Amino acid sequence: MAYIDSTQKYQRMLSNYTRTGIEAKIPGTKQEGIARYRTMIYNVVNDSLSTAYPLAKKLLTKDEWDNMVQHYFSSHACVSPYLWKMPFEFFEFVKENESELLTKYPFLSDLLLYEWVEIEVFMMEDVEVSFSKIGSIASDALVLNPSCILQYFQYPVYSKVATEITSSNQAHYFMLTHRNPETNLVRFMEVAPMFARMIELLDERPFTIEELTNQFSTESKIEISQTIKTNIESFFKKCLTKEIILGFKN
Amino acid sequence: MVGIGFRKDFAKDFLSTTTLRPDFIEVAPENWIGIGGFWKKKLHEALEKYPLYTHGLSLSIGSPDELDFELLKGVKKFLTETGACVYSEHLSYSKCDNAHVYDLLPIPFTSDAVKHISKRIQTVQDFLERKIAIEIVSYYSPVAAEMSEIEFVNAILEEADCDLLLDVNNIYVNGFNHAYNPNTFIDALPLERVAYIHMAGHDQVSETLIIDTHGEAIIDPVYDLFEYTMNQLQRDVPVLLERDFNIPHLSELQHEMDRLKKIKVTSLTKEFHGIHR
Repeated sequence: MAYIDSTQKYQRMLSNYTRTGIEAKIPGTKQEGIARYRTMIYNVVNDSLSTAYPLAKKLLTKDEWDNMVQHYFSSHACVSPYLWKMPFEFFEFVKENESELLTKYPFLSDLLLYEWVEIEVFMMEDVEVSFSKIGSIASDALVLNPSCILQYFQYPVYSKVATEITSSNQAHYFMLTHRNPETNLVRFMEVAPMFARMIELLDERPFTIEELTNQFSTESKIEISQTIKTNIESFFKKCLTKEIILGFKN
Repeated sequence: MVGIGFRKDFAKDFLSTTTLRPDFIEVAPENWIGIGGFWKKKLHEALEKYPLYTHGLSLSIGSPDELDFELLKGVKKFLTETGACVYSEHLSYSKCDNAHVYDLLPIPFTSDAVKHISKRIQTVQDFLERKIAIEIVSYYSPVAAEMSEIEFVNAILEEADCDLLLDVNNIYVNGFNHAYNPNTFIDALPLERVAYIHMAGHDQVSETLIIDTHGEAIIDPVYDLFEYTMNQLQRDVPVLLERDFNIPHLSELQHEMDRLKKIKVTSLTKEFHGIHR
């Protein structure tokens, strides 16, 4: 008999059982052992998600969390061979498939994303960039730390305790998450929309502050006053101190 | 050589003290591929001190799904970059219908599975341009078996022409769970294929079931089975102590490694004296 007709069928039945908990009659199995697989696998997934999303887990009731994890694992095919990346699939699943929970907790998706971004920035691969520590903040092109992510949120999940967030907090928030190249610690910084756009530009290539200012002014059709220019320079000085800006183009 | 599974849980203590003194370390490539920052730095610190053995988790060699060549590419790159001595994987499956389950499921012991898996092992060996070692996994239930476990394992080793990662604790666990004599099972294996040995603790959860948790110290009967294995082998095969959960003080892990080394040396010396008597 061909592999596809026999062995494969039982493998699928067992795998499906471990994901859904729906019992399958597979010949020659021992019930106690088969049930253990279901428990162990569910625990691996639940532990991984609980570790990745402690704030979301704390926000939800036990039943809400358990049902969400069960719904996810039984109906979503986890594609990543890397267990540490699996929680990102959970975030995407919740965003698309948990409308009831998202109605009760409109900021849940933002909260999950905030927690995921911390993991992603902490774990992301090192990217070597060329820059000089010596230069002028006012006139040299700035080199952005490649270990950073700029993220848009509708709720201030990074600055308020989840249980205190209400619909009145809904607005446009931009958060810059970066990994310090020396300490490897992850840090968060809320940034104004103007700075968010400038960071986006720096993510493409190094720019001087003047170039960034002109580009932003052109795009937004906003005239940049001297006071704002001073604020922009202060912002990037702060970024340089925090190693969000690593230095200057060679 | 006796090594230790390099775990993030104890990486900092391990690298900053001399309490734990393995001859080599082992990692799962899947836990280290594509990462940077803190953990990459720690891995590199470890690689400066110790040779690396690797033990895959997600290749799912026994799966009905297609082999994941993207993962294999990542593994190959990782093995090259780290200079890994050995790459091993499990005789099980962890992905089916394109869904990873992140644990090791038992394969039905059937002749069509033997053909399917042997071919996949050969493909992996060709792709990686090296022989791989396959581990007999602990299992908690047979699944639609048409042959015995030993027939299944030996047929794959023969047909795939691969090495064997002999996890002595797994043989003990399987012997208990499926009521066979683990010594007899070891006798029936092609021991010349053993390239690597794993040792670990387990947890007996009922009168009839042991789970291979890697969360406890090795028990005496498993040490005894290890001694038996070494006596049969009469070769200096690298041995790894696996401890994935419930991590004790590092001195306790060193104590376990010392005991493994002592058993190994004694077993090999016994034969030496035997030859010269």
